Amino acid sequence: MTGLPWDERIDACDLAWARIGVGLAALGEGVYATLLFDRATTPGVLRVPVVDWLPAPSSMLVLIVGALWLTAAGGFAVGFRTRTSGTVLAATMAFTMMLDLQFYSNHLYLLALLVVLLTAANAGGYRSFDSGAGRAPVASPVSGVFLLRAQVSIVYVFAALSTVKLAYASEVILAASFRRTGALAIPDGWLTPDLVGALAVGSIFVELWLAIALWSPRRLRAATLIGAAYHAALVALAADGLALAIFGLAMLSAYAAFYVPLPLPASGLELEEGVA
Amino acid sequence: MSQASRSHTRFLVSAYLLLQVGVPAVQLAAPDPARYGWQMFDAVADADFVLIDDIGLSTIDPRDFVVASRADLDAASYLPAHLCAVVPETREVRVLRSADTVPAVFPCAAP
Repeated sequence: MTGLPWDERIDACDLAWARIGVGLAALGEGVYATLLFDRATTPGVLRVPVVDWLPAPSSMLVLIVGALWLTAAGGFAVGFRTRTSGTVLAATMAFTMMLDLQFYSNHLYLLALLVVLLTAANAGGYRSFDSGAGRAPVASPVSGVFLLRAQVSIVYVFAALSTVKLAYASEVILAASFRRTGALAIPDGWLTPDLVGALAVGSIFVELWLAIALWSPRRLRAATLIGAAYHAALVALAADGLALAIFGLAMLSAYAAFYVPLPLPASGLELEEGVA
Repeated sequence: MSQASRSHTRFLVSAYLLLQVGVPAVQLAAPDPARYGWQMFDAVADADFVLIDDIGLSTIDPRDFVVASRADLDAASYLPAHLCAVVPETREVRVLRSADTVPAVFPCAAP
């Protein structure tokens, strides 16, 4: 992969689906972050700033950050001034994570990375206000599409490796991660150590398989279906279903990068048959 | 496309990949769940917080004093000093984690 023509421009219309999905996930996350911000302004609530010189959360800051975030996320989803809205959205997310350690989450971090990569990859070229107005460059750099793919695989690989580590260390934490309330609650008696262990092993295999199979045009459709089913199962079974719904939407949206054929390293011929 | 531009892009791609593989790899060795490591199972470990003042002791719900309960942020490290500051008359905070048998004691500094 080191010999890929990184600067070469390719037609990547499928990235539009990634931009729309990530933009919608960012809208959902924006509502959640605004609620957290609001909570942080409550007197007596702990503050753990990453750096001391940033302002403390206040009602005015909640309003400014919330408005910036939601406007930029909406603009990004519909592809309106995509580069500007993507830059503002990523900066707002980064500012939020810097403001207090309690605002960090894996899905917010993932969303920020995907917004940066999609912005760099000119994801506003299709199915967007920009393309209608003729503003955005239609072609995308190979580097941007490749990094989007790599990011998805990296997340799956390390999620799997950390589950391996945890499965040996603490079945209690694994068991506590399952949903215990609501219609989809798993009865206590069902969560035996054997079942929890089997589910952990299953998730490890699925994640490792997805990290590899998504790169194969022959397996891409199957990987997409299995990935969708896997994320749906996580949302249904896990205690933190809302966060995992946002996480799943972001991950599944980024699958679109695998539907964009990459060129051959030297000749510029297409490395893969397009599947879409 | 100039050679300089190609080298620049190759450097950026390499740096991004190095960071995105290196940081989670290092975090695998950190206590669970570590940030920036894509560690998804993050059930919050239980801990009881007891405040001691001149009258006696009272148990508090730590969720009342944080923005969000996060497993990757050990409340027992940050919360005692905060409780000393915001709950009047508190002389001492005791924290009993579910994995421990003896509570950790955090005396509050005299006002």
